Amino acid sequence: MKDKVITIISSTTGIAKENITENANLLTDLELESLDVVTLVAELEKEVGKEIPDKDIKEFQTVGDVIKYLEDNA
Amino acid sequence: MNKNYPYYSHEKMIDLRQLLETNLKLAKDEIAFIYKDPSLKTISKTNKMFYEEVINLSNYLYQKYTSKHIAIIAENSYNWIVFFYAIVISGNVAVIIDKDLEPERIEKLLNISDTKDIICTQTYASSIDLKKYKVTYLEDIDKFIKEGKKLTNKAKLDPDNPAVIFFTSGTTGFNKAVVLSQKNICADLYGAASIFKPYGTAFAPLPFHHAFGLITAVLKPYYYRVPVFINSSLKRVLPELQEAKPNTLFVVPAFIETFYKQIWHTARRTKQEKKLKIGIKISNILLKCHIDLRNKLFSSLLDQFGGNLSYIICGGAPLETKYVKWFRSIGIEILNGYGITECSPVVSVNRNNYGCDGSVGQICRDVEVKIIDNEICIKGDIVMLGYYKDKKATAEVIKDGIFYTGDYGYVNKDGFLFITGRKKNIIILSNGENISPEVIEAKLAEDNAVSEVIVASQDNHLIAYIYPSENYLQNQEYFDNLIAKYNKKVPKNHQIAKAVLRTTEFKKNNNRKILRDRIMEE
Repeated sequence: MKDKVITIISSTTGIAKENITENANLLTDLELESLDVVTLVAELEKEVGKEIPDKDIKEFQTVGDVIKYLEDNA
Repeated sequence: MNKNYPYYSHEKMIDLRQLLETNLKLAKDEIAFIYKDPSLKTISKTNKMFYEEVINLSNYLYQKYTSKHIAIIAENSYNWIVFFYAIVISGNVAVIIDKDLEPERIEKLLNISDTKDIICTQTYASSIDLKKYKVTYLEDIDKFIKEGKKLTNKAKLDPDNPAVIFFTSGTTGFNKAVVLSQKNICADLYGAASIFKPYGTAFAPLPFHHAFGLITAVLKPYYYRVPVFINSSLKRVLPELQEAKPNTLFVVPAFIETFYKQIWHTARRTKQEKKLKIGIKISNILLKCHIDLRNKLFSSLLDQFGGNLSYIICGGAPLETKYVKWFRSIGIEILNGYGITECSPVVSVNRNNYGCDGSVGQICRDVEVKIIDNEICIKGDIVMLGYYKDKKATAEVIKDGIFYTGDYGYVNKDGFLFITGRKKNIIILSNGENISPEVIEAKLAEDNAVSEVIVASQDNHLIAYIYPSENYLQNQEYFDNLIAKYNKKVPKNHQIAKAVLRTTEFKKNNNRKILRDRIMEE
């Protein structure tokens, strides 16, 4: 799941894979805007084939949060 | 009004009930709303269907609640709009609350507005202390509509009475409860509809808890009698734009910046960046010669927005002019406007065929703008009734029937309104000179190397805090030169002492406005 999430973040945002660590904060480290995060979630939904409710998006602070959420809700 | 650009003609409404009846009479079988049901199936509602659902639900609400404050805490949906409308025309007051606030904040807003009754979705029930409030679930709407068929609504609507309470979300974090009447809302619909007209479906992605997202993006298209496509989620903006094929889109600047970023990212990824740059250059040259090939040159780009998008109405925060020019190059006109919740909310907007870059447009019909000591002041039926149970705060902003916006600006000779800054952001130097930091920031932001900039005073000097664009991070020399160049062109008291570069973006509130108060703390 980790590799999958990092690949999607990289292809959606253009950020090099090596700069995307589990601890990276989506807003402050990867410098994504809140709408970028929403776009990213839409891409993740396509990849994992599962809906991520809007209400859960605000829980995503770091790349690790996204990975854990997808693993827990697989 | 410029005589070459007459107002669009519209019937003035007394209240929202009259609007409902007028749309039934004039367009009963025309589509009013399009939305996705929970299984993402597309549903259309005609004016007649909307009328019947609202009337029946208002019958039910009238029998259950009398002059109550009823909060709506839910995600955007068609049923949200039906509830909102029914609350107002059943003589109750709709209290509009941001569903994403933390539970303590929601409780505070409910207390401020004396609200004990809540309409919410199951999703957001966990944000509410169910023991303290009477909660009705929005998902049960069909049951209430059915019950309402047997009931009547005898509410006598006074257009001057409170109808809606919105909460402002200022940059200080302090919320004020803005009370609007139906007369305020109807004045706003009439005033803005007289100067801008959509020619097809409108697309509404903004949250309804903002006056712009609800009154402008939903009620105005309904007043124009064009269909409103309700975006089911921000995650699905692009696929739903492609389905809705809207003529007009209502957004805040963050959307435009994201679209822009995504377009360039895709162009880079697909190795089309050079082609796009050349295309834009050619398009701009041809436009100067009055040759418009934008539909052909950028058809694949325009198709991403549905293919029919002519206008993006942008408000809520300042938008850099470079985006207006760029989107014009590909064939989409961004019409910047200015509004404030306390003015229901629209004060001005650029017109379909009469705009001025850098301005926030022409003043809406029947709205009077006075510039008093550089401050934009508003007179007219759009001015709110006041802040709920806060006479002191109301008296501070409404004097002799004139609303003081707290924004500085001017109106040019052609009637276009320009914003120059916020009153509360004014820097007063020790020599008594008043400096509007936004004016300096706008000048510096014209340079592509500047991604974000805030000007503040320190030891009686002006400092430019700059977050550079990607290729200029930590390039102090470049910014020192930029400041030196800028300083040569401006009076002494506008000169910048130094540029301080940041490595992270500025902190912003939910509306993407930079939290100025935090700059010195960071």
